[in-house]
Amino acid sequence: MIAPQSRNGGVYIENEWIEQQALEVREEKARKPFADFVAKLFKHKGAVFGAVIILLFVCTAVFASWLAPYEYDKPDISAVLQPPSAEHLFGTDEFGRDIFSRIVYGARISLRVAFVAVGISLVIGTVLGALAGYYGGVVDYIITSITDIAWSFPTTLLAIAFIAALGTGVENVIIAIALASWAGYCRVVRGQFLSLREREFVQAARILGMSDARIIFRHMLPNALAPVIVMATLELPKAIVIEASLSFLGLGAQPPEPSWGVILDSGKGLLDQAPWISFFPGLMIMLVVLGFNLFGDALRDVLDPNS
Amino acid sequence: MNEQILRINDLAVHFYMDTRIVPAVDGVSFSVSRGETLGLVGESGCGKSVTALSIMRLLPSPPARIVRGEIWFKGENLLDKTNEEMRKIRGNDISMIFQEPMTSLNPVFTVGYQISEVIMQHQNVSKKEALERAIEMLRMVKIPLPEKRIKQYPHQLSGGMRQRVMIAMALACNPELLIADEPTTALDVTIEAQILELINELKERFGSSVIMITHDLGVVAEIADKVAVMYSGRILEQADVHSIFNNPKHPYTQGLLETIPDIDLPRGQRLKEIKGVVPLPDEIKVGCRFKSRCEYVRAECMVDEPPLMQVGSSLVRCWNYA
Ligand SMILES: Nc1ncnc2c1ncn2[C@@H]1O[C@H](COP(=O)(O)OP(=O)(O)OP(=O)(O)O)[C@@H](O)[C@H]1O
Ligand code: SF4
Ligand SMILES: [Mg+2]
Repeated sequence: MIAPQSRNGGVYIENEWIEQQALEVREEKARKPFADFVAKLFKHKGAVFGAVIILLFVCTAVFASWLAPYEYDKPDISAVLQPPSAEHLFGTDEFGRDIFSRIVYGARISLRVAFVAVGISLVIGTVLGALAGYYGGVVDYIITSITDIAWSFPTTLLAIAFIAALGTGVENVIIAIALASWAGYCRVVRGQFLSLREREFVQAARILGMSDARIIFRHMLPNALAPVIVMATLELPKAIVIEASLSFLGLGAQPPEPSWGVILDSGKGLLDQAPWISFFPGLMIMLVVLGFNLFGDALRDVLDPNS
Repeated sequence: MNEQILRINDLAVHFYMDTRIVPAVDGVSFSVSRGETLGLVGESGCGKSVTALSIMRLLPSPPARIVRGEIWFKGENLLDKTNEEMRKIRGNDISMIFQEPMTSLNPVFTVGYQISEVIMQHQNVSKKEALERAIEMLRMVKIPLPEKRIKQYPHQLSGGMRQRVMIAMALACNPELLIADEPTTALDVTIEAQILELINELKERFGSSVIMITHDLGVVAEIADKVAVMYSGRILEQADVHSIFNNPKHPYTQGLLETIPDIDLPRGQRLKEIKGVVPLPDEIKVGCRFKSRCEYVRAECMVDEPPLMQVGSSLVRCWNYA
C-alpha cells in the first residue's frame, strides 16, 4: 500500500520570465479582435456601401436645418409643381413647397421612429426572452405563449391594429411598431439564455452568491447581445418602411408633417403631372432600406461564429 | 480546533426523471471540522457533485429534490434557509471551485472585475478597495504581475492561471468552507501539483475547511486529513487518511488503491482496474451495492445491505467485518 506523501515534494516552481513573455504575446493578440472585426466588416463591399448610406441618412436628419434650403412647410404660390431644377433640386408640390427640404426634414421623423421603436422593442423582447430562458418552467411557458401569438401576426398588421386602438400620430406609430416587433428579440434571447445558463461561468456566478438579476443582466446578457445587435440593424429599415406605410395610409404622421410616407401620399394623385413628388421619397426609402440591409447582412456574417 | 463546521445527516437526493426516480445520493452522512480537509472519493457518477451541490443548495430542480436529511453549517440547517439567505452564504461562507477552469470565467469581463465583483457583492467596500483586494488575492494565488493581470480577459490566461483566478474568487471573502469539485482533473500533472499545493497553503493561512472531491486517490494522499469513499450514492468507507492508505478495509477501497499507478512496476503493469462498471443508482435493488464487482462476495451480500459499521477507527459498510 502506498503511504500518503507529497507528490511534488512541496516545491513550487513558477518561471516568471516565461510567464512575462507569454503575457506580452497574449496582450498583443488581445488587442486584435476589435481591429479584426472592423477589418473583416469593411472587406465586405456591401458593408461599406451600407455604412455610407446610413451615415448620410443620419447626418441628413441631424443637420436638417442647415441642409434644407427652404422651410419644409412654407407654401410658395409662385413655384407650384415645379420640376426638379437648380433652385428646387427635387421639384415642388402643389403648394409650392420644396420637396428636397421636406425630404431632408422627413429623415428626422424616419430616424426617430426607427431608433426609438427598435430601442423599445429591443428592450421589451430582450428582457422577456432573458427571463424566459433563465427561469424556464412556468415563467417560460407564459412568456413563450404570448411571444408565439405576437410572432404569428405580420408586424405591419399588428402595428395597424395598435394604431386603431391608440389613434394616429408619430408617437403612436412608435409605440405601435415597438409593441408589434419585440417577439423576434424575445425568441433569439431566450434561445441564447437557454444555452448560456448551462455554461460554467453562470454556475460559477451562482456559486459565488450573485443575485439572479446580476447574473441575468450583468453576466449573461453581454454574452447574448451579438445576434440581438444584428437583428436590430435589420429591424431598423423595417420600422422605417412601416412608418412610411402607415403615414401613406393616413394612419401615421399627419400632413403637413414631412414624413416620407406623407410626401409619397401627397404625390399619389399627381403622378402624371408631377411624378417627382412621389418619386424622390420613394427613392429615399429604398436607398435607406438598402443601406441598413447591406450593413446588417455584413454584420451578421462577421459576428456569426460559423462563417 | 475540533469544532464541526459542517455536519451532513442522512442526506438523500433523488432525480425525478420521466420514467424513473434516480436516487443519486442515498443516505450520506459526514462531518468536516474547522481547518480539516475531507477527501470525497469515488468513481464517476457515484454522487459526489450532487452532494456538493446539495450543500450549496444549487441542485438543478427539477429534476433533483432533496428528499431527506439535514445539512448543518455552523449550527444552522442550510435546508431551512431561504434563497436569499443562501445567496449571502454562497461565496462568502461556503465557496466552490470546479473542474472546468477554461470556461468558468466570464469571457466578457476582466479578471480584476470578476474578483472585485465577488468582494463587492458580499462586503461593503468601495470599488477601489475591492480592486486592491483583488490584486492581493492574485498575489496570494501566486499569479505574477497581478497589477497587469487584473486588466486581462480570461482568454489571455492559461488553464492553470484561470484555475488560480477561480481559487482567488472563491477565497476572496475568506469562506470557512471551500468545496473543490475535481479542481485539477482538466489540468496537466505539474499544474495539478501546484494547484493542490496552493490549496493546502491557503487553507493553512485562512484556517478554512476543505472538501476535496476527486476520483484520484493520489490527490487525496496529497491533501486530505480524512476520506469518505462513495459508491453509487452511499458512503462505503470513512476513515482518516492514514487508515485509508495503510489499512483499507472495504473491498472497494482496496480495489481503488490498486488502481493507483505504482512507480516501481514497469509501464503497462502499473494499472489494475476494478472489474465491472459502476451500477447506475437506480439499478440497485437488494443486497450490497458492490456485490457485482466484489472479490469477497458471500451469501448475505446478495440479500441484505450491510450497515455502516465501526471497525477500529474506520466506518465500513461490508459484511466481512460484521
Ligand atoms: N442533471 C442531472 N439529471 C439527471 N440525473 C443526474 C443529473 N446530475 C446527476 N445525475 C445523477 O446523479 C448521479 C450522480 O452524479 P454526480 O454528478 O454527483 O456524479 P459524480 O460523482 O460527481 O461523478 P463525476 O466524477 O463524473 O463528476 C449520476 O449518476 C446521475 O444518475
Ligand atoms: S458486503 Fe459483501 S459484496 Fe459488499 S463489499 Fe462486503 S463482501 Fe463485498
Ligand atoms: Mg462530478
